[in-house]
Amino acid sequence: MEDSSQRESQCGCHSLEMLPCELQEMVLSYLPHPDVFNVIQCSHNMYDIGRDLYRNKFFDKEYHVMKLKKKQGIRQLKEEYIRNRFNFIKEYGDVRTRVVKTVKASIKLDPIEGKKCLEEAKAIQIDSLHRKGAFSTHCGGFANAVQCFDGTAYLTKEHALDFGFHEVMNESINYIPEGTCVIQIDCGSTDIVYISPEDKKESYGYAYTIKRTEENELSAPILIDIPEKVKWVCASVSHQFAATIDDRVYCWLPHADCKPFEIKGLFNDDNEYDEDGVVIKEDTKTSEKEDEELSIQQQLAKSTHEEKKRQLQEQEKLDRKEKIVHKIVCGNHFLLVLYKSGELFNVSINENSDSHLIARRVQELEGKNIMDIEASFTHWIAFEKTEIKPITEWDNMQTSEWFKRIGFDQCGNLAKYHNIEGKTVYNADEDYMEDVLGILDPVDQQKLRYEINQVRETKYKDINLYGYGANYYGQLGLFDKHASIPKKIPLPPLSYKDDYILRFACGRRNTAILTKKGELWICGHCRHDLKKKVNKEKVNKEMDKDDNSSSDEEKKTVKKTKKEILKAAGKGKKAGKKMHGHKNVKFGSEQFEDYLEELEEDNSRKKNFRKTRHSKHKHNRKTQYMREEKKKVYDKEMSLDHRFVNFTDVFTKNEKNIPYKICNVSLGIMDFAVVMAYRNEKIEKVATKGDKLKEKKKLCTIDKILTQLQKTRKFDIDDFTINYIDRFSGIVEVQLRKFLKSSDIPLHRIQTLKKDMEVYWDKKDRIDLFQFN
Amino acid sequence: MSTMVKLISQEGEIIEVDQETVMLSVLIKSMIDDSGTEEDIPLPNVSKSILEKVLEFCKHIKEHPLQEIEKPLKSANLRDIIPEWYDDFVDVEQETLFEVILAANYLDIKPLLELACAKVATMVKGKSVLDVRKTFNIENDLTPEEEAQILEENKWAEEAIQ
Repeated sequence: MEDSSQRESQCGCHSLEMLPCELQEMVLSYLPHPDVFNVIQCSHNMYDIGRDLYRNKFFDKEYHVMKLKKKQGIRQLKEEYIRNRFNFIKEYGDVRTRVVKTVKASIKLDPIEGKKCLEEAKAIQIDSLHRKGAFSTHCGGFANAVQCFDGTAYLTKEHALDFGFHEVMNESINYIPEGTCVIQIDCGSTDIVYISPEDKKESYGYAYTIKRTEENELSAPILIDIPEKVKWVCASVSHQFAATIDDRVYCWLPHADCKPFEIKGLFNDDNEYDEDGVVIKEDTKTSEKEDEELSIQQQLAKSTHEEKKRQLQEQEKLDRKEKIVHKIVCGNHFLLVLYKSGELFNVSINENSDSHLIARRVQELEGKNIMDIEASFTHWIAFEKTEIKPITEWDNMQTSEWFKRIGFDQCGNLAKYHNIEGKTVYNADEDYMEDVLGILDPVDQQKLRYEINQVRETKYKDINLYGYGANYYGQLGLFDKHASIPKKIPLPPLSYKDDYILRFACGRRNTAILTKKGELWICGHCRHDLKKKVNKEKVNKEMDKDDNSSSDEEKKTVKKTKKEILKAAGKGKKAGKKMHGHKNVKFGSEQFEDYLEELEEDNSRKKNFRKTRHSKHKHNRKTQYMREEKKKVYDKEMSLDHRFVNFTDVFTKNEKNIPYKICNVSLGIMDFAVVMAYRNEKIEKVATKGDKLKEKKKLCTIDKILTQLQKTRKFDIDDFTINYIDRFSGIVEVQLRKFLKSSDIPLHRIQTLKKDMEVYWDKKDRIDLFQFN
Repeated sequence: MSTMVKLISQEGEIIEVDQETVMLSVLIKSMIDDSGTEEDIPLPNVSKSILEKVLEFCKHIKEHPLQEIEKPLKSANLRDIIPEWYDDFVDVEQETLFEVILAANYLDIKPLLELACAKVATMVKGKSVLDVRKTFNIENDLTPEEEAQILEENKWAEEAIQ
């Protein structure tokens, strides 16, 4: 470039300036606006040429159109960006925006105080887990774990979650080998168990145990030798359990040999056992089967047997469909096995029961549709959902009941005796309704259609939580000390529309329930010790008051007695003979002194007696007072609808007002940990009483009513009388016509408007029978 | 069939070309219209090398028509707007480029003129005042006061846009 420019300067005729003006202009015409501006700043010559072009260009219509288009384009791009961003949030926001927060578990939750006791609770965000896509947290006794959406799991052996995970994230100390996909993880009080599949896509895998070593460290993962693939694991204090894809449940001791053994007496086991685990009744079917198998072994060549075997296997498969293990959870001394069909089995664990554990059905919850279970050290909670099937699956009895409920009694009987099933009703057309069901009125037909639409889909009616176990801390959300049979837990009212309980969690001292829309309620850590509950200071104060008054009395009595003695002495001096009717003592002798001593002793004895009586009395009063207070607290506790405290705001409140939604919760011994994500959907609050009051209709003003009255002529004005407040004589009743004609009292003083003594409009009571719109 | 036309360059050399090719030039076209194809056409303002380049363009454009270049330029790179060959064609030394412009102007070949001007424009586009001066060897004869005045004068326009 330099060369050429040098040459140009030598020639002196090949600069841009040397071109004819019109050519220069032509070159400039190709340039966008700002560039022209640059060029005209170069020299006089260029300025002269470019100036007009520059200005013309600015006034050029096309140029403006282009500029406008560009602006619109930018706006469109922006909108698109925003839309894309929104879509991104919609699709991935739930995962990407996940944060983990913790609150100290030592917080006391008094259901009477409710939200007040949460004032001191502070949620701490674990920054190291931000944007890791955390799915769930697991708080154990020795180690904590966080499982992420991508299958990574982080472990820390610190008690404090925050500090622990900080370490893990920064120094990448992880006890699970890198690249391991974890499907499910559970932290017991000392050890951890997790499932890792061979292939990331699989949802089954092998169980691994990480145990605490003697040096208080975490060991390397140990593969547990279970013959089948595992789908669910859980860890208790000393035992660990795994449910396999064949729906067997294995148990092993991580601190012994880690050798798994099968648990007997479960759903797929047809044998019956007695308390020592000895088979009482061997199911005939199995023995037959064994026989057959033996015979098959003996006569493999016979194909008929093989066919039979295949049939048997198929039968077995069919049977097993119902017997799919849904979840297993465990506590200190029990293991619970939940089946897909809603059956619940309990296995009690003793320290000695090394190799044979036997499951028993939880009789009390039989027949209930248990969907989920959770357990902690000493209690467990089962979650029941009653399902209302869609109309198409109803039999004639259900249909009949439904008919009766919605007010078609006749059809109810019809359905019952004519075997009309839900499906036929669902498909009913007008003719069917008229001919078979006998509903002729089109309004009724409409109503029936509406009702059919209402029951078209499966609905969940009742959600019940059953609690079982110890309730020392109120962890069951019940008032009783223990629940020796599963008891229904009273649930809090949910504040969002169409909300339902999605998850729940059990901790050592607490139980938490989490709803679909992210509302969190926690109960527990509230001792039932009523003595503590009774306000001791108050009692003492009361007692002090009593004491003061009584001591005053005492002083008085003491004074009295002294007076009496003196009096007596005087009397003695004077009379010398009759002394209080006790003894005959001669005045002025030694006997008199003895007598005085005796008298004092007597008095002191009396005083002591009084004292003891008084203290007894005091004690009685105190106990009575305590009892009364206790009863008050007891009544108060009993009158509570539920014992949960709303925790939602503790976690979701933030300075930036980001709408967070709680997605997962776990209750550890030290911390409550919560996984939150950005809330995407709008939520509607259930209208509370306060809202309803606000919604009250505005009362139509009297001037409107009067004008309407005169206008519409629906009513005769002569029929009406009014009450208005007179400044001096109070409320005055006048005929309306008179009032309108003669009075100049402002209308707002009118209190009531009556027609033939019937109140039609009242300011105070907000009555308006006219309903003019 | 096609008649040949003899062009005489600045140096006096004769170049024979197809008549149809050179008809692109308005100047030559009018000369042929005036005096027919037999007479030589003297082009004293165009050197032989430039003439050959112009003719190369004329030959190419017959087979590969060039669309009019949109104003203002959308990109500083001509390849984004026009076929590669044309970009290569004008990708020459500045001196040659200006000579081509002059020749195109003289011969009145509109597409070539536009192409060359656009090329020059790309050399200006997006460059600062100083760069433009340096590139085209423009002497700054504006006093600082004048520069300020220019800025001031046209400020309104800038503001109006933003």
